[in-house]
Amino acid sequence: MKKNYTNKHFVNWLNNDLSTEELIEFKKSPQFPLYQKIAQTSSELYAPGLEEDKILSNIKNIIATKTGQTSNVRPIFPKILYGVAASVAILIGIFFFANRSTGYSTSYGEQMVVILPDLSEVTLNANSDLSFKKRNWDTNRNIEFEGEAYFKVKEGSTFIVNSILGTVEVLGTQFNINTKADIFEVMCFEGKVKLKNAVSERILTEGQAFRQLTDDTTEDFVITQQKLSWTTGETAFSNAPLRQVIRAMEDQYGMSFEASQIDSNQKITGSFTHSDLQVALQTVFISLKIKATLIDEKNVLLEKK
Amino acid sequence: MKKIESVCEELVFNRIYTAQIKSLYNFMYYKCGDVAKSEDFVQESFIRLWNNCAKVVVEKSKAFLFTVANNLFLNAVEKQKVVLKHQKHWVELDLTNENPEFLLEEKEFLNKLQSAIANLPDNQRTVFLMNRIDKKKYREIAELLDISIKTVEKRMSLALRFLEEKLGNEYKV
Repeated sequence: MKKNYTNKHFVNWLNNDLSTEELIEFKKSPQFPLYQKIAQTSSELYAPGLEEDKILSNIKNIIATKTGQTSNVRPIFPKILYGVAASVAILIGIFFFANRSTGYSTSYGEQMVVILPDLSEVTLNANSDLSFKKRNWDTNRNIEFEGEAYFKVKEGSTFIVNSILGTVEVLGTQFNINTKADIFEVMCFEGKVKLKNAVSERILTEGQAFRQLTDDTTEDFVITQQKLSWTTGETAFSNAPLRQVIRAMEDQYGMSFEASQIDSNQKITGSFTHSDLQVALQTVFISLKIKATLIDEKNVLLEKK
Repeated sequence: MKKIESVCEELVFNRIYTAQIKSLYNFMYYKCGDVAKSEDFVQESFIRLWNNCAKVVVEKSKAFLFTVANNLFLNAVEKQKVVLKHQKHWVELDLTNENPEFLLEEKEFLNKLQSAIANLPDNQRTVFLMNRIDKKKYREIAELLDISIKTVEKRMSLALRFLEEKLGNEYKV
């Protein structure tokens, strides 16, 4: 009981709540020296330092970034203008977002199958780019394309493939397009396609193929392969200019060919594999009496034998 | 006509900050014993005060800060041991011709007190240190913590009893 009593005095003493009498009595108690010591030493303690200014500036920064202005500055523009500006920004954003193109591209030696929004299927050969806009796809099936690809188009509205060298317009069909090495080559495997470019406009039907060279000479040829070769691990060509073949090899193997010493416009028929460079070089160049030398990992020199 | 001050005025806000930062920070430190967390809690409390400046009158801002800080503390579970510093310079003591034995006792007492304080329950430690270090009256502590004066006195009493018990054996007159 006595202990509780002094404890209460202690509590009140620390709050300066003791009357003079109580204080005298409290000081007489045997625990007083200990109490005094506790009171004295504890009042000399303090918490580890605090950088008041740093925290205030932190707070000001956070407040400023949250509200976009400091508090004691009268806003130059009425607040509604911020709303208007934000709405405009959002609308522009939505417009660009909805209107943006979806793009796919392949690198050396790569192939990729792209499924378009209408479930048409495109197989991209090495080093090719394809992009289209998802918006209004149903009414506007328009594709920007460079490289080589095999299209299996679902029937529906007109389907247009644009390239620098010309466009191909189709209704449900399967065809291959190649715009590499300044050559515009289209092979129609099924259905009908319509070609259009600066020079000519023509229609290809099943089994027909068309090639336009840089000098604006064109040629028609018949597709002999049952299935498009490059989707099965090798590239076949019939009566194609050598530089088209060289370009295809460059894309498959990521190599650079030095062909200034040979006639790269000569025509060749044949095929090369995608899996072995040595074999590919032999099958293409031996029959042409061209010597292919590997200078290093990235370069091949072609010379006449 | 007296103009009613608003917390939304930057000068008023700054004044509240200067007046309260130290004791709010100490309050947090007494509770969690972590400098970085205490700073974070304090910072967040002032930011919330600013965000609610239109709703909080100047007189209530103190209580608002302590309540927010306390809630932030309660939501963060981890607690560390509270390690307080002591402001007495031993060099200074040397000059007062204290004998080495006394100095040793002093140091030992201080260590014991520190460890006893660290072992107090959060609530009791906070009340005790707010009184001892920040020199706050029980009424003020009650107001800041939004509890009754009786509760403050109760916690104080428990804390003192605990300290007395821990230090009594060591300290002979």
